[in-house]
Amino acid sequence: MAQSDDVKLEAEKVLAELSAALGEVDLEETYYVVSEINVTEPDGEPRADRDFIKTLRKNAPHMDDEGSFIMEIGKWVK
Amino acid sequence: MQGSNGAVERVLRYLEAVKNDNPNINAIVDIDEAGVLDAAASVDKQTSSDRAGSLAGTVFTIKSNINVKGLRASCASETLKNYVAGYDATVISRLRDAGALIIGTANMDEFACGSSGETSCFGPTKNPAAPDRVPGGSSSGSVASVAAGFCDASLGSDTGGSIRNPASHCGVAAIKPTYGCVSRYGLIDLAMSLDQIGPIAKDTVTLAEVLGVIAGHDPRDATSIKNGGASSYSKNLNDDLSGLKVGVAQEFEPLTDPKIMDVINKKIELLEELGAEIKGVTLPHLGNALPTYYLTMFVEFFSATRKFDGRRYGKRIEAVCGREVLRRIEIGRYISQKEFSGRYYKKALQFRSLIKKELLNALKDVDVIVGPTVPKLPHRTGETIDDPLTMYAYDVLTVPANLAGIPAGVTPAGKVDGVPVGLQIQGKPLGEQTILNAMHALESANGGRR
Repeated sequence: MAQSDDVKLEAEKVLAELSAALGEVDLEETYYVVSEINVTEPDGEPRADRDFIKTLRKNAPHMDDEGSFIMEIGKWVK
Repeated sequence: MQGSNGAVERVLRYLEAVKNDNPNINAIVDIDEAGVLDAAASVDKQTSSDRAGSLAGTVFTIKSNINVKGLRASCASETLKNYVAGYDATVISRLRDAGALIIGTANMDEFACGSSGETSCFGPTKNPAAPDRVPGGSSSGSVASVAAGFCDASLGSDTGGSIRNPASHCGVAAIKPTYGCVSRYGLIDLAMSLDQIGPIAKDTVTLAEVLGVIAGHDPRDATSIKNGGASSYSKNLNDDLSGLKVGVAQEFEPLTDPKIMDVINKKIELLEELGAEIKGVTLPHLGNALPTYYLTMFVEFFSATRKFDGRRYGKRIEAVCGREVLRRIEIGRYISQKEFSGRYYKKALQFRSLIKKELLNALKDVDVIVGPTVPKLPHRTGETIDDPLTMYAYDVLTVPANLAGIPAGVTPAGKVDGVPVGLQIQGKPLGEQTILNAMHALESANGGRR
């Protein structure tokens, strides 16, 4: 694991320098979204890919014998 | 045209080269020997029955942040080191349909965060063209695998120069297409508004053939352009540059090593000899491109990494990632928390508008803008660069194309102190054909030599 305190200090320095280098401008903002964005993708035919399910299970960090995912409860949950 | 066993024989030759030299170069992280030989045998059958695709028997490596079903899509990170792709990215489906053969997945900077090829969890990649120098990044393994003769072509991803930077340092041809020209479905993103998949090859003809296969609208990528991208780039290659208006920005020179600039200027003179008209253009805010790019990328990368929480797959990113990835996450997190004041991201978006406007205005008067790809030579292997801003400075000439979404190609221009230097050719949106024509003309004028 990287040393996070060092990295945080470095991060603050980098951010300060880049922000200062940018200077000021008063313009509209460009977003990546293109005007013809497809937000309503047409439904395709449903299909079951058994290979995909097998791979998905293999990729899971923790599974029980019945094939259910075991996930860590968030640290913020008492 | 392949013989009856042409594809299999070709793959066997490449596998031999990989076995001999990859342990030293470290360009390929996973070799799919059984899969590529099976696919080659199928291609040979199709070839004998005249059903072969346009890339039949062409051997590829694929950057490890693009999903190839059954192979690891690790992003060269401990986070996803054991993550196996469950599906093919659109570009991979298209390559397979055209008869391409995937020999393996390529090394890269971790999560594409780097410009040197040194930050992979699988270890650094070496530069086959200049063994004492880094290969550049982040598509280090993709480019090195082409340069080392492990494959015919490769796919990389380019967020701020990640295809063009290593192509310049390793002496091969590459192109970052227009944003939306090539589907990003199946690419593990670094910064979604800047990322673009593109090809790398030994020559422009192969590059054009590959781009023709992977370009085109994909309904699974919401930012894919309709009617963007042609399939006929290679058929339409044309070496006649008469009347081509080539822009050169005065702002390139002060940023660039004079030795590199000498090599680039010779190529610009060659373009003129080939019939192109050279015109001066101005990009007054070029110097703002680097902070604009990084401030935008940090925020988008932070957002993109929130899914790597170690619950459904992989390991929690902050727990295992390398220093550069953690630095970018921390900056992105900080900006996201502070953004209510609009100090960073919103300001970067404003500068992005300005830079895009300037580039598109300059491209109204000319067909392409040419110049150096990277302002300095790659540093020596093992040399430590402590200041991240020094590392980021490699990207100053490549990030504007990503900010504006325009295409940009790189073709070998010559060498400085034995290290390859690439000429960058930036074009109008969907102007890939013009860029490829200029690259091909320069290559032909050099007798096809790189």
